[in-house]
Parts: sequence; structure tokens; C-alpha cells
Amino acid sequence: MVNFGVEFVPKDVYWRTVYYAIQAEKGGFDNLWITDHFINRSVYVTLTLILNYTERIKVGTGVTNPFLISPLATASNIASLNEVAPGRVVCGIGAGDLTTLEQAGVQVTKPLSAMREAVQMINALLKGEGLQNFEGTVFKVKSARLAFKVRNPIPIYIGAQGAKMLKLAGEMGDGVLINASNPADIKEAVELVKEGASSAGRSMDKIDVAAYTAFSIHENEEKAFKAAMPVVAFIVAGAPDPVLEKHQINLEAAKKIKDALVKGDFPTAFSAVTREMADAFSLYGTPAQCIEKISQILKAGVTQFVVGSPIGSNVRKAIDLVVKEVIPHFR
Amino acid sequence: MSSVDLSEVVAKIPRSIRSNLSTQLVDILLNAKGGDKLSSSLAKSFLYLWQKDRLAEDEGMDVLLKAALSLDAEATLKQLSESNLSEVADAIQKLSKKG
Repeated sequence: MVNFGVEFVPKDVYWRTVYYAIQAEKGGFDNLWITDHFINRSVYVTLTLILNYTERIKVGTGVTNPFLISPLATASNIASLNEVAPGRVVCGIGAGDLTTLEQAGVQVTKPLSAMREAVQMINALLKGEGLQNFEGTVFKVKSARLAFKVRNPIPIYIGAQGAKMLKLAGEMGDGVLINASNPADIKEAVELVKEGASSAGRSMDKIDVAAYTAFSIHENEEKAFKAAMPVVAFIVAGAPDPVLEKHQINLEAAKKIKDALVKGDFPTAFSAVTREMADAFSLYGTPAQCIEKISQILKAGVTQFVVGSPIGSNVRKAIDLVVKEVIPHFR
Repeated sequence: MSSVDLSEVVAKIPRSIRSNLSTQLVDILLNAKGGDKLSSSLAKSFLYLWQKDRLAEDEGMDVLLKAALSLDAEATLKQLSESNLSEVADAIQKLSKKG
């Protein structure tokens, strides 16, 4: 049986995000992910509060990154969070959002090595092994160990989109958060995860394969599409040309969106999003349409479906639709 | 307005419409501008009562009304009127004037 996850961006006051988290738990979601951007509310403050107001749902960073936050700090944060609700915490980590990192003046070098080393470092600290004279190509640690014990294993999920990162996730991750929404892209990604797992002699049974989608649901399909447009605009603007070409998206149209976003002209950027773009980079529609698209995604071997931002024009009502009409279809 | 006064107002809300009304008040809370203006104690009570499924009970309605009024009084009073609770809306307005 597939698990359902939900992602929230803590851009609003904490009590609203916690409200939605409680709603998601009551509705039968299994996992909850909170994004980690320095421009928003702290992921760890948000997760701590969510753990205090929920009983069952598993929570994690979705995702943190090793460039802005040292993997040592991440290990400490995750281990501390785990003390609030042992066994309900996971660590999601990815190479990070290039635009946000550039804004912060953080140089992203050797993302693949950085991720490999970060996962090694976090694992070593969480398992109580510590690090002695760790000599990575990106990170070097003389000596590091948590001063407290982590009493249960904490799974590490690797956020991935590119081929090499997907293989790395298969090789090292307890889970993978596939950053895609289109069934064909997800199918391709799962194959790469399998390759990575196979190269490391690992069974796919040990890896939670999550499709981390840009999701929008509404009883009215047009409204679902419109709610997805802002998120799709940012994805299109950040996508390299080969990715756009693969989805037969007009490069000129994509450039128009990027230029408008750079100028801060959001209405122009958002209104230039086409159906083709939304189909390529999001999963949107009525409950029946969403069920059909999710069914296709699950055939690829996905074990967790993540309802990601924007979820819908009205988040409470959108979660309610997923809970009442989508999840029961798969259970 | 005092808690005692508002409790008397809450008692006037028929149980049969509380479930729908609580959802509508929640929507006002979730969509109002200036969510950071909600007091910390009200926010915590709201989340606690939501977690325990008690928003439609007396205590829940009391907290929801206080919270919704503090974030968007106009929308809250309008919602009460639309829910055929003009008497409740009037009572709240009188309490507000009383301070």
C-alpha cells in the first residue's frame, strides 16, 4: 500500500502550518515534510511545534541542504527533534535551491560530493560513531560527536532530480524524494534509483521511493490549473533548456517567464504558464483527474506520494479533498 | 469583552449549526491578513482544541470567535449574520462597545 505525504512551506505564521499538519494527520497522511529556506520560518521550530500537536504522523525536513547548513548542525537538529517524538522524525536533504543559495551568496560546488559526504557525516553522528579526521572533498572535520545519544535509527532521505543524484539516493539513502510530477519523469527517475541501489548491492525494499510533486487539486479543473501556475512558473524559469525541450516546451515562452520573474513582474510570469508547462511540471486537476495521474505514477514503483505545494488555492479545502476523495481510492 | 460575557453569547449558538460555523470561522482565521496579530495564547488554545476535536464545543466556539474577531471582525460578524445568528452578532457588537 502506498503512503501519502504532504509538504508545507512555512511562509505563514506557525499556527496556520500547524493547523494544516493536524488536519493532515487526522485525514490519514503518513508523512509530513517542511521545506527549509532561510527566507521562511525555521523548519525546526515548525517541526517541533507540529510534533507537539500530533501523535502519529512522521515528519521531516523537505529538504535541508549541506551548503547553507553544516551537516553537523543538521545532525544535531534532527537528533534533538527526534527526542521530541522518537521514531517519528526523518531527515530529508538535497543539494538545495540554487536561486535561494545564490541570493545568500553561497557557492554551490561539487553538489554530488557534498551530498555524499553530508549523508556520511549525518549518519555517523546520528549513529553515535562520530567523525575523526574526516577528509572529504567538500567537508573536512577534525573531530565531531554528539554529546547525547540517539535512541533509534533516523532514516535519511535524499532529495534528487538529476541522474547522478538519483543514483546516489539509491546507493545511500533510506529514502529518495524524487523532485518531479510527470509520470514519465518519475518512471525514469525510479529506474535510476534502482541502478544506484543495484550498484551498491542494496534491495529496493529498503528504500522508500517518494514522488515529491507540485500538486494542485480543486473540484473545478481550471481553478486547479490556475493555483498551480505560480509554482510552475518558477519551475520553468529554473529548468535547463534540455529539460524544457524534453517536454516540448517553447524555449522563447519559457524565457519570457524567466525575464518577468527576474523583473519581479509576477502577473506576467504566472499568466504565461501554459497547460503543456503545467502538465510537465505539476500534477493538477479534479479529484478524479488526480487519482488517474497518481495511479500512473504508482506504477513506476513509488512507495510514497507527496502532495506538494501549492496543494490548492485554499489549502484547507484542498487537503480535505485529498483526504475524502483521493486517499480512500488507494486504501 | 470579558470571557464571561462571550460565554453567554456562545450559549446562544444552536448546537445544530456549530460544526459548519466552526469551519467557517476557521476559514476566516486561515485566510485573514495579519495572522501574526493573533495572540500567542489564543493561537495555542485554537490548535489544542482543534487537535482534540473540540472546536464546535463551547470552549472551542469561544476561542474561535475571539480569534476570528481579533483578526477580521467585519468578516466574522458578516459570517454570523449569514448563519442566521444576527442576534449573536448584535450581542458581540454590544459587548465590544462596552469594552
